[in-house]
Formats: sequence, structure tokens, C-alpha cells
Amino acid sequence: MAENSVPAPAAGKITLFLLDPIKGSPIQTWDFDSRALIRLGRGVDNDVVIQDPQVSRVHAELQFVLDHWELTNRGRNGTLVAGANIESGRIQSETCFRLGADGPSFRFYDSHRTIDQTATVLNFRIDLNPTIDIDQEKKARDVEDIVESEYFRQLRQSTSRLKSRSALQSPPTR
Amino acid sequence: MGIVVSVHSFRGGTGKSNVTANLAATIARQGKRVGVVDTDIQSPGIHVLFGLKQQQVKCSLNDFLWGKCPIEEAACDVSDIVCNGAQTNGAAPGLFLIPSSLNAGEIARVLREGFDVSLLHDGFRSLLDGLRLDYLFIDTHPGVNEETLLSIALSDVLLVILRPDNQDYQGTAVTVELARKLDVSQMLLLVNKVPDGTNLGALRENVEAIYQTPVAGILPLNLDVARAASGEIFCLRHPDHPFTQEIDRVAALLLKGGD
Repeated sequence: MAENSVPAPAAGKITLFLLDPIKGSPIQTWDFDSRALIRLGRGVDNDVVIQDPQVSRVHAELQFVLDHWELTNRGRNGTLVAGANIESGRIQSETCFRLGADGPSFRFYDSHRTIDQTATVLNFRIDLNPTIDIDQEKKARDVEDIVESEYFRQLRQSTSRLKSRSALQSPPTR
Repeated sequence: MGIVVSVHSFRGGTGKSNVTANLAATIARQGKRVGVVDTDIQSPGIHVLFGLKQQQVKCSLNDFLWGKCPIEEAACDVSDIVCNGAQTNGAAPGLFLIPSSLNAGEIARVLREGFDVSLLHDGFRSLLDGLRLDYLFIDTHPGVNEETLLSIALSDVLLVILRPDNQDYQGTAVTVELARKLDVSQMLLLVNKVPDGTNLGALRENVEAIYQTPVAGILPLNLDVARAASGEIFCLRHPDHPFTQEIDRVAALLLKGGD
């Protein structure tokens, strides 16, 4: 069966807006067209150079992967989306992010891709680390109640006997 | 001798039947002969994933338990789901489903009468020998009750599924402890429906430390799987999906244990 070849989506044109820290309006703009990797940082060899003590020499990267953009933190002070530190994740058009908790804010705009209004998760790794609390005393009581039941005792005896019988009757290994 | 793998969870909604079906199909696709028994007689559902309709079921697990048919007659051959493009190792792969009855009256009857330990054990052994199975998956009803304890007790491997949800943790701890008391040879955990943003490494370490049991796999909460709505065996349709890749890793662990 012949494969249909579909051209991979192109990175297209994106724009980064540096936002005024008080008003939130754009004060500086960078346009990128058909670029797959964009670096932000204090170092002069970055694509977006920001002279701010909160910003690391290489602080963040925007990378086009398959059919979407991803934002990755590389900075010592972190990169924040909606106030939460991110490691790496998909970024959609009109998303704002910040380099460091008190650093400069940017708005990301992707002219080709609109926001998925049906999404219910942000798709950012914000480092959830669920804690698991087990009430050990209650567990021990619940287990004892079941283990001490007549059914459990008989089950243990029956299965032990049945498994031994099966082991004796099992055919030679294939 | 074939291996009995019981798939269990303390709570409902953990994705047990979906994981069971996907694991079974993945292992069958590796060239193994795999059976799946739906012992969730109270709320049978895994047959939906295999596309099995009630009219196609001549004999069910219930009929076997009432002595109406040998268990091999209750086995529906669903191998055509995995045969296309399956790798084989010389032996004919196969996938068989032993469904539970969908008839409400029959469900109620089994609930009243319960399962016979020796009968179910002998039934499993008949399936393993009669169908020359390498693996027999047991899809169980959630929670701790006589029927689920029986399935756990008869298994060689117990796979316990939980979500990273406070409603799951305590009951899973009880289940794991009971399984130890029943001398289950091998126990594995699988954490399913993990929300995006979770530190997966820390989650694995945490779960393994709390339950003193290896984590075989971590499956993210995934909209693609949710949208499939159990209408298909997801891995067969989406071989490159991250969900499928994690199922492949869990299957590889089970296959390694079986060699």
C-alpha cells in the first residue's frame, strides 16, 4: 500500500513581545520566521538578548517540535508560566511567560496556530509531586480483619493445595 | 506452564480493563498465545474493547461456573484483532476472551452463589493447557471482596493499578498487603491517569517506597485514550503513541518474567 506523504508542518512566523512590567503592554518585539530554535538570555549570542540580572546567560529556549512550539527553562532563576515554574512544555499562542520570578515578562504569539479552546490542561510540567499518606494502623486493622476471616483462611489453604497439585501435574517446559 | 496475571485495582475507574486489553493484545502481537477472563461478573465490560457483542457469546464464564459447558467453549477467539502484521516466533499467536454474561439475572445469581475456588482454579488451568496459552489475564472487579481475593490468590503475577488520587492510596495499601499474605509470586504496580505536570521520577520513587513494590509503568492521563472511549484496543490503532510505548514497556517486563 503506497504511503501518503504529508509534508511536516513548518515552524512559521512567531513573535515575542517584551511586556512593560507595570502596564503589561509590549515595549519591544522580535519576529522570527521559519526558525526551529530560539534562545533567550543575557548572552549576546542569544536570539533574544535581555540585560537583566534575573536572566541567565542562556535562560530559555523555544523549540518547534513536530507541529507545535515548546518552551524549556535553562535559567538559574527559572521560567514561569501563570506564576508556576516550568521545566519544559508545549506553549500556545498568546501565552505569557517570565524569566525568573522578578524578571522580564514576554508574550508568545504564533500567527499559524490558534489556542485550543477545548484543552483542559496547560501541558506544562509544573513539577507536581503528590504525597501519599497511608494510615498504617488502619491498614493493619483492615488487613487483620480480612486475614482472620474464615473465608480467607480457607482460601489460603485451598489455593496452596491447588497450586502444589498444579506444579506436580504441569507438563515439561516447552 | 502458562502464567496467570491478575489485574486488580482497589477503586473503579482506574483503567483496569483498558490496560488489561491493551497488555493482552500487545503480548499476543509479540507472537504469544494470550487469554483474557472477565471475572468482573458484577459489571462486565472488557468485551467492549474487543468488539464482542452479546449475540456472539454462546457460552460465558457464568455458564462454566454453573457446569453448563467446559471453559474452553466459553473462549471467544479474537485473534484476528492482532493477526495483521503480528510478529511471530514460529508458534501461531492467539488472543482469546472468556467473557462474563451480560444478563442481569445471571449476574445476580453468581453474586448470590459466589465462585467455587477449585472450579475456578481448574478452569484457569484448563484454559492454559487446552488453548496452549502463554499468558492468562484475569480482569477483576475493583475492591476487596471474596471474588477478587480468589482471583488474586490464583494468580502467578498480580498487577495492581492505581491513580495518583487520595481515594486510591489507602485501599491499594490494604490490597498489596493481602496479596503478600496470599503468597502471590510476583506483584507489580501501575500508576494510571497521571496528570500532566507530575514529576514522574519522584512519583515512581514515592510509590515504590510506600508500597515496597516495583512500579511496572506510569501512564499519563491522556485525552486521546479518553476520546477512544473503550471503542478499540488503543495500542493496536496507535502504535507510536506514548501510551502505547509505555504499555510496550510493561508488556516487556511481563514477557521477561515469563521467559
